[in-house]
Amino acid sequence: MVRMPAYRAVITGIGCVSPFGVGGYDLVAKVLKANVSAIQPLTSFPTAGLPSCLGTEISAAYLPETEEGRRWSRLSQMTVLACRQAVAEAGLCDSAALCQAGLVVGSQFGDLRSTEAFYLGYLRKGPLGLSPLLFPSTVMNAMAGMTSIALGLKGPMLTLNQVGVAGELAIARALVLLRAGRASAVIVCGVDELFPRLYETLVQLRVPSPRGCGEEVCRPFDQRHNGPILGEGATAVVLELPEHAQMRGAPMLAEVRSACWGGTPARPGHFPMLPQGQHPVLDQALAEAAVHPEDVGMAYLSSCGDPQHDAMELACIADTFGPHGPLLTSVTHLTGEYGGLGTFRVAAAAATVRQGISPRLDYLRQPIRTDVRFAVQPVAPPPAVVLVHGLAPGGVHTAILIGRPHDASDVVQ
Amino acid sequence: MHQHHVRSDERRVVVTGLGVVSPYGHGCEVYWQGLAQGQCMIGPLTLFPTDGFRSRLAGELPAATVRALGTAQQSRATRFLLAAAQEAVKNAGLDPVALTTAAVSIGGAGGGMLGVEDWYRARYHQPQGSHRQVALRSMLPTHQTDALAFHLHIGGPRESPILACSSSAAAIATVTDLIETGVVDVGLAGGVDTLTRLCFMGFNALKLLDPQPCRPFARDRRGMSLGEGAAVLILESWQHAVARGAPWRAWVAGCGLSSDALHPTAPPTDAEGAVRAMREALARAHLTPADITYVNAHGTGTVQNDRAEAVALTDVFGPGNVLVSSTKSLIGHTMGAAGALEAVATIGALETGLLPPTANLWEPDPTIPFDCIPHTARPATLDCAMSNSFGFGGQNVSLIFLHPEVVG
Repeated sequence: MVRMPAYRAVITGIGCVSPFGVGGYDLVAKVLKANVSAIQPLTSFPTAGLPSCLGTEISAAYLPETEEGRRWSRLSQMTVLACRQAVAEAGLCDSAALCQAGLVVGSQFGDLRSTEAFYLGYLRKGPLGLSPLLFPSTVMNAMAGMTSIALGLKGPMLTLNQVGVAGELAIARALVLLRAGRASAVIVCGVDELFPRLYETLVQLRVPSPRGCGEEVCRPFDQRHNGPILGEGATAVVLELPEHAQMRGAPMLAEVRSACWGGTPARPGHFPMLPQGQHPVLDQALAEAAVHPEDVGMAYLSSCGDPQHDAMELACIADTFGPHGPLLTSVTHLTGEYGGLGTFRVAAAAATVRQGISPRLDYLRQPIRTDVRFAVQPVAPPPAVVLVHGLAPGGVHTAILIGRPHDASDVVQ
Repeated sequence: MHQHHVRSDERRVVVTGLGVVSPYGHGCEVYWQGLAQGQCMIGPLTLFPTDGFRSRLAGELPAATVRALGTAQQSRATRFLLAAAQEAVKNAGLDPVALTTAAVSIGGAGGGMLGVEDWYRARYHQPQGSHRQVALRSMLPTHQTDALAFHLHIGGPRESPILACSSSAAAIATVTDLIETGVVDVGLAGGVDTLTRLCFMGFNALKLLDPQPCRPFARDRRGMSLGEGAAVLILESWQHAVARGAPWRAWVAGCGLSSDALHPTAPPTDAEGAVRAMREALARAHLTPADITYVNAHGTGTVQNDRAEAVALTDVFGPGNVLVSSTKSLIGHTMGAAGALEAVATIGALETGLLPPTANLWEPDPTIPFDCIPHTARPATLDCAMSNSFGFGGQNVSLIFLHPEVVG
């Protein structure tokens, strides 16, 4: 009998609202297989006069044109749509099951678009310019609230604010909800959007590429990296206890073997000075998943082309796995970077363990380290276990291990 | 239906430290004295102009208290939070080494926005000007949590839950879950929020602010009053507290979380979600409604919220079967910090046997079938008490605390 982790969850559905379209598992697999970037000059707002002009955008045509949809902010529309898609793919259509399901939403910026619109009303017209309809969207839990209403979710509902790894954190937190017996199924969504003021401000703060040096481009791990390209999207996954999924005959796309998170104290907005603080999180994730380091065949990293981020995360991986560690990959050169992207990485990892599909780092000419292995060729056969690793400014780090689903009866108590 | 997690005795959660920054000033003792005396701190708001608004009042921290906290380089929210957390850690006698693996969960709603509002306003009026962007750093609620982790060297799981007005109650539930499931032994749970234009304008726009100091559960109540503050609780596994010889101030007996899935701002008339949260907390605490003597209500003072909460309390406890009060009537609604501040008030009631009153309750609403402890604190013998928090988006959290001598 296979040695199994004490606590695990299975992924039974995926919903993705992305620059590539709206879909479920098949869309994610198609995006990875095609390995074509959605990064292009932004068209939904002007970028003239700014040193950056690239990004990824979700077409308005993808968002619902329903009466219900028009009442929601754009970010809430993205969240609801992704969660609906995931729930449909999971076959979690029974209203009683939905009623008990939990919801965790991770976001870096929340609905700043609505916040700006609300505040502008005041600046333009004083107290009479304030819209009572906009105000609820200024609170970051608005997306979760709208989703719970739209889907009839009455279980525990959390919104987590986190820079960089909001999606990964939401997955880890959902696992705690399952582990604590608060729900048998949890819908997890990572979401963020781009809008003019945010983009302009981040460019002025020199967050995205090119940061005053060279070509505007997204090249994680390459010596020519000079910052991320900003993007947007929403990806939801349905996590269930294996026995719950099995009982209702749900499709098991992949298994979350463990999801751990911790924090190396670092000045807010800065990365930790040393990678050592991340080791306990990775070690704990491997131990909880009952996985040896050499069993991890591939790792999706959160690095997005920020030189400090790339260096720090690679140092951590190299220290833990050594020269024969997993093939390292990224999705940000395809999707652009946003705080809630972690759930997309988890969905991608599910496709990797199922079908061996993974993104290739075709742009990688001069890697910043040569003692680790990068995914520059298609991977074969599918790795048994894939790591989704996250590191964020402020020192929060996450480690999620995804594997092929086992039969629920295999669990060793 | 999913099964409630059954924790071992060793993983039961105790409260070993408390820290507070409130309109009464800095310190848990100052806070408790203010509540016990029924001293209402809701007064004219001075932090920003309030011309043209329905309400011009709030529970604002005295300027002298704020000046004494942290440094001017830190945001108002960060200063509040650090002061509360440092007090809680000291109060718990917690070794700094224990913090290196401790969890931290700090709820908020928009505490760091105050400086950002200044930045945005300046930029709006002078688009071509050069504006200090340092204020933007503190914009996200996670900034406060990161700052706390940095200053106290906290190295365990870290998160910033945003559940509007129930954010910090959810933070307490989070850390409780992490301890009960064996992820950590120790954690800091709490919340922080400061008064912001955004929040003040928003509730004004919704016409939910009372022009006078709020009057929860009163017949003539007209809405809430806003407030600000921070509270942090040190939570530990019972085993960990015993091992280091730390006395505990209360047990966290059970936490319930639920969603209404009905309306972005209004509660359901049958308060079904709030009922489920309270019943879940009772079930996880292995208690019956008859075990609860006192409920620190969400009690905002709005017509709809108070009515819905009374319906929920009636459903769970039966009319008149529990004593209820709202400490929001004393310090205002501190948004993301409210759940933690009210948890501290509830623990204070357990420790002292004195129930904090509801201020400004001159004429109780006859449709609310509970003794809401008007004006004056009430002595009571109590072992178990509940604290309720309900937020925008239909987010309900109920927490149950036990007197430290009840079990052990």
